[in-house]
Amino acid sequence: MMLTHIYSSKHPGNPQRSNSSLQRANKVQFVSRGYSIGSKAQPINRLRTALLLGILLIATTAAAQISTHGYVRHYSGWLADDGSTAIQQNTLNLNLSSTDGNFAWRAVPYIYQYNNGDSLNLDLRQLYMDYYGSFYDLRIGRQQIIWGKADGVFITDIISPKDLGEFLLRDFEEIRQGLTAAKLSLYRGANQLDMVWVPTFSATKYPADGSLWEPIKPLPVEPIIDHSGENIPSTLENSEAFMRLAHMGSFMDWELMAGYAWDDDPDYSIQSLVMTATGPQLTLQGEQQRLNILGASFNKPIGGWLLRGEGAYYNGRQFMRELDITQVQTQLAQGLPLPELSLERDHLHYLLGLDMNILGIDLSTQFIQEYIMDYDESLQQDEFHNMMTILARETFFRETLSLELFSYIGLNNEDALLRPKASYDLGSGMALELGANVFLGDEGMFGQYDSNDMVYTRLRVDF
Amino acid sequence: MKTWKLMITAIALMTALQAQTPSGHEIMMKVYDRPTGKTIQSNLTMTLTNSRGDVRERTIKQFLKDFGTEEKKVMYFTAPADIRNTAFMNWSYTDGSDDDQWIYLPALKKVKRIASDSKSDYFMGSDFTYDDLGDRHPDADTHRLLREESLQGEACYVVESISKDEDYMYSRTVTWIIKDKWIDLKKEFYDEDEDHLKTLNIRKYEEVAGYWTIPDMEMHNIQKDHRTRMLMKNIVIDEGISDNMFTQRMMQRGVND
Repeated sequence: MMLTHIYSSKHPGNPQRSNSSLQRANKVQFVSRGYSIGSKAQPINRLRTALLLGILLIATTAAAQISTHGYVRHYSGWLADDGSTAIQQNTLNLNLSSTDGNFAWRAVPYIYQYNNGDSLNLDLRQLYMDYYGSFYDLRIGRQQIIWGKADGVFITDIISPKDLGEFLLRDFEEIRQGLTAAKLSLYRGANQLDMVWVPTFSATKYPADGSLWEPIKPLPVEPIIDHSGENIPSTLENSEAFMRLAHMGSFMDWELMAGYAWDDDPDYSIQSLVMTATGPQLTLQGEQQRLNILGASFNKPIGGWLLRGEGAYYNGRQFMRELDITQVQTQLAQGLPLPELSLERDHLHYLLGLDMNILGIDLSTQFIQEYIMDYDESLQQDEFHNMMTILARETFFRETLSLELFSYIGLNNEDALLRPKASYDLGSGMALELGANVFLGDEGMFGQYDSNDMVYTRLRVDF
Repeated sequence: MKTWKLMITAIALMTALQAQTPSGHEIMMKVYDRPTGKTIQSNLTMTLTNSRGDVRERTIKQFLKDFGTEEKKVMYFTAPADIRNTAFMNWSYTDGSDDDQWIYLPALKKVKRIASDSKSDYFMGSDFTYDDLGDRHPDADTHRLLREESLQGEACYVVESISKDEDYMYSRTVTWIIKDKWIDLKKEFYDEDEDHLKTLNIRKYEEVAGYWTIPDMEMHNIQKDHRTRMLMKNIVIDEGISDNMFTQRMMQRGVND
C-alpha cells in the first residue's frame, strides 16, 4: 500500500522462515517497520497466460498494423560482503499494440529467467483493450494504474498491487503488477474523471521465504499461519472501486481520489498458543480487511522549482501490537480470551516534495510522514513515522552518460538505502548501467538489510 | 550656391535613405512578428554528430498551437527505441512567465510535471539550448544594424544583439536576416568570453501554406566541433490541431508512428 506498509508492521511472521532470519529476529526485539509475513503466494496460471499469448500472437499475425517493440535485458548483482551472486536475471519484454480507429489493444508479455538453472517463465504485465470516445476512454483488461505525484512512495498510488520480491530494488514498472480492471475516463477541458472497477482482488507479492529480501519479523516465536481466511472470492460485493478527479493547468496540477478497497496486507489474529517440547507454538489466522481511502495530491511550480504534495486518509487499517508470549500464556491459564494481536486505527500518510535544477543538476527531495490516529502505546509502529527521499541526477557528454543517486532515509530508525548508478547510452537503444545498493543502519525497513549491500550491472537493448 | 544646393540635396537623400533603413530593433521585431501559422505539425529528425563523426539520431512528432497569449507544444519521441513513446509538453507565455513543462515516461505510466528547464540548458543533448529554440522577444536585447550584405545570394541585414541581462549565456549574437522575408539565414553566437561559440546555418527555407518556414537547419558548435541538424518533414500548417492534443490524455495515449 504505502511504502512503509509495503513491509507493514502488521505482519507477525512467516511459518517457513529460515533459521538465519529467525536468529536475526530474535536479536531484534522490535523492528518497527520493514518486515512482512509474506502474503500467500499468488499462483500464476501459466496455462491461461500461454493461451492468452497464443491468441494474441495469432491476432498479431492476422492484423495488418501491429507495433512490436520491447527490450532484452541481462541483470547481475553481487553481494559486497562476499562477492557471491545475488541477482542473475535475463528478461525479454515484448510490447505489442495496435490501433484501428477508435479501438486499440496492447499486450505486454515477458519471458524471464530469474536465476541460472531456472526454467524460462512467461507472464503478462498488461493485456487490455481500449475504446476512445470523443470525451471518454474505456480500458478493459489487465492493466497498470498509477496515480499520485509522489516518487518512490505509494500514498494514493494504491490500485496496482506491488511485486516486492526484491524489496524496492526493481524498476517501478516491474514493481507494479497488472490487475484485471475496467477503467472509464471522462474528459472535459483540463479535467479528467477516472472510475475504476476491480472485480478480482490481487495482493502484494512479498519476498520468497529464505530469499535475501525476506524481512525480519517482529514476533518472539515463529508462528504457523492459517491463510484460509485470506481468499477473497470474486463476487460483486467483493469488488474494489476507485475514483479520481484530476486537473492539469498552468497554475497547479491536482488530483482528488477515493477508494473502497481491500488492504493489500492481511490482518492477523491469534488462533491458538500451545506449549510443545520445543517451545510455544503460535498459530495465527490471516484475514483480508476492507479499507476506505480518501486522498489528494498536487504539484505547483514556483519560479523554476516545483512543489509537490500528496496525502491520504485510510479508514479502518489494522496495526499490529507487541506480543508478549508469557502474558498470553497467563491469560490462557486464567481462562481469559486471547488478546487482540492488532488494533484498527485510522491512518494518515502524506508528503511534501521539492524539485529543482541547480547548476544543471536535477535535485528532488521528499519528506514523508505517517501518523496513526488515536494512538495506542501497545502498537508496534510508532505514532509518527518519518522518512525522506533525495534524488540527484546529472547528465554528461550530451546526455550519453547519466549519474544518479536516489536515497531513502528512515528518520525514526536512522537507516537508509543509497542507490547510486551510472547509465551509459551505447547508442541504437542499447544502454549499460552500473550501480550499487547500499543499506545503512541496524534496524528498520532499510537497516534490516545491512548485510545485503551489493553492486550490479544491467545491459539492456530496446528494439 | 550650387555647392550648397548639392549638399542640401545629399543630406536630404541620406535622410530619406536612413528613414527607409530600419533600425536593428525594427528588423528583429519584423522577424519576431513574421507569421508562422496558428497550428504547425511536423516530423522532426534530430541528428547529432560529434567531432569523431559518430552520429546519433532522434525522431520526434511535434505539434504546436498558438493560443494567443500562450503557445503549446507537444513532442512525441518515436526513436530510438529506448525513448519511444516518451512525450514532452511545453507551454510558453507571451508575458514572459516561466514555461510549464510535463513529461510522460512510459515506464512510469504517468505524466510528471518537471521543474522548468533553465533556458541555457541544452535540449536533448543537442547544440540548441531551450532559448535557441524558443521565441526570444526582441525587447530582451539591444540591437544594432551592423551592415547590409549578400549571403547565399540573398540580400541581408546583419544585426548584432546584446542581451540586457548581464548573466545571459551569450555575450552577443550576430544575425543575417533576409531583407524581404525576415528569416534568419545565419546566426553566430559568442560566449561570455566573447569567443565564437557556435553558428546556426539555415540549410533550407520554403513557403508552406503561405508561410515562410525553415525545414532544415544546422547548429555547429565550433569550440567542440559538434553539430546538430534539425530536419523537418511532413510540415502541416493551419490545418487545425485539436486542443485535446495538449493534454495528459494524449500524452499517455501517444501518437501512432
